[in-house]
Amino acid sequence: MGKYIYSTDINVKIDKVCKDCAVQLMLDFPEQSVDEIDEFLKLVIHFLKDNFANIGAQECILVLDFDKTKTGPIVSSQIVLDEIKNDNNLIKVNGTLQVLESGRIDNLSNLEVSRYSKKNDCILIQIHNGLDISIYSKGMLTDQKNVRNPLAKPPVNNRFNRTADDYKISLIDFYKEKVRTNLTKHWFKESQRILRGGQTEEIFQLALVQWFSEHLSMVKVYAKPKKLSADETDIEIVKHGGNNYLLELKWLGKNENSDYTLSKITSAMHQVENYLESDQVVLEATLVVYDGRIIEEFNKFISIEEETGNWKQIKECETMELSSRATAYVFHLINQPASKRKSA
Amino acid sequence: MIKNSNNRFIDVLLALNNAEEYNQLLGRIQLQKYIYLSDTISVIWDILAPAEGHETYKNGPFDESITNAVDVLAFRGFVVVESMHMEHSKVAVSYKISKAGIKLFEALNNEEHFQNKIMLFNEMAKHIEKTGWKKLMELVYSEPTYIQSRATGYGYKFDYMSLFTNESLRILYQFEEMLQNGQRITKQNMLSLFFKLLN
Repeated sequence: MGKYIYSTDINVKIDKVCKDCAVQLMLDFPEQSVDEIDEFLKLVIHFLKDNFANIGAQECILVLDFDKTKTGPIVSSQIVLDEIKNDNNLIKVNGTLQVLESGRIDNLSNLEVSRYSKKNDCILIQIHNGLDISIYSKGMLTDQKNVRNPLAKPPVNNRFNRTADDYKISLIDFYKEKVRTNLTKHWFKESQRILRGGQTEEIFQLALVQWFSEHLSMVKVYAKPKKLSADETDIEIVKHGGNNYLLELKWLGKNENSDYTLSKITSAMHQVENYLESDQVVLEATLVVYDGRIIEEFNKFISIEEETGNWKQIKECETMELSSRATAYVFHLINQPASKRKSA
Repeated sequence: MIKNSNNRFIDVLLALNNAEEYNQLLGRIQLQKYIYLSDTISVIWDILAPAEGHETYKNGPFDESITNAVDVLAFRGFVVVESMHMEHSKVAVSYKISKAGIKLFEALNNEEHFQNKIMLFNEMAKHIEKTGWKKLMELVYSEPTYIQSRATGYGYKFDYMSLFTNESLRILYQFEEMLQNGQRITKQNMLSLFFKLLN
């Protein structure tokens, strides 16, 4: 007794966190049995612990209905997935996890979920990724847990998480975190500024697709979608609802086999404009350039905003100018350690 | 001086009746602990706890009146003594309510006056069943008032009725202070909180 805080048994941990959380929830609903709330929380956590792989990244909400007279089938991962397929993201359950009814909240943002909980005067559990849950009571975020590590502190929001519309900021995040630090392993001979040959573009493309997939919420990211008969974009980001952004990737400088100069950029700009002309549904197209040339060459680009680092947002290159739905980012590939660099 | 055991007949009868419902025999120490826990929470259930009850002793809180009461009930046929054996040079026994004892309980159950106490013992039995009857002693050893008084040595008398001396009560009432608009926590939830505190 009282010693289980040192135990590694997950069931003991679940019992402990549910107990604490149940007491908090009972204080919001003093007429309800704290033991029943406790049991409900344990059932939810055990259910998710056993089914998180099936539910995966599907986001949904379980709403607790205290009415003991209502019954239904016991919740299962199949039921949850079926409801999500049917465009429902809200499942009302009783204290023993029997499904009573389903519904939908248009937006699963914290604010909307909180509002729903307040408006309906209820306890609800938002399941983020099969593992992390947020528990709301009467509109208040009461607790956050990870069902596999119940005693761990609440999950910290990933600082690189962005919405689809902020993909350009994510592009800069990617540069700062992966490219600038050479985690993309793009250099063949760093001191001579020679990039790895063969598939230089793919080095950046694959890593960027991976980055977007992990950090942009509510999107599908495709690499090399064959959308247009004559050509193809390197990356397509499709937002929830079908709107999309196209990205074209290019590099400048030398690799083991070739030497790419500014003319490559102007032709890429034409390519981007062609995409936009052919596909009016595209929200925006962005040319992303990784510049492996010396800094003096990079500095010749004219940034449309005040320069803040080793990247520039440009609208024109040589004689070519981009339209309003297109933009370009040029990122300089640094080959100096951070201690020798002058910029952030 | 032998303490008056009259106030403990009902407690012993209710404890053994509930244990019987879960097919449990209660030893002397388990009986002491069950009743100690009910005394600790009794104020919340609007039940008057005995003015002179448990005091610290070898195996935790002990009330001689309970031992006397169960022996008297056994002598009169309301309780059956089972599995008598030697344990650490002492006679260890387990008690079970007899058929006559069950009839006596049924008579009590018809009395309005005892309803609160019967309900408290019933609800407690559910919690003990969930925790495990063998863990009654561990539950008491986790009880805040006992933890605090244990260091004072043998003979410390528990005063269940006062917030100055009953630590569990003080903690439980603090939960109620977290509620708004004068809301109250139900007796059942208070008991659940009590057991969550001990677990």
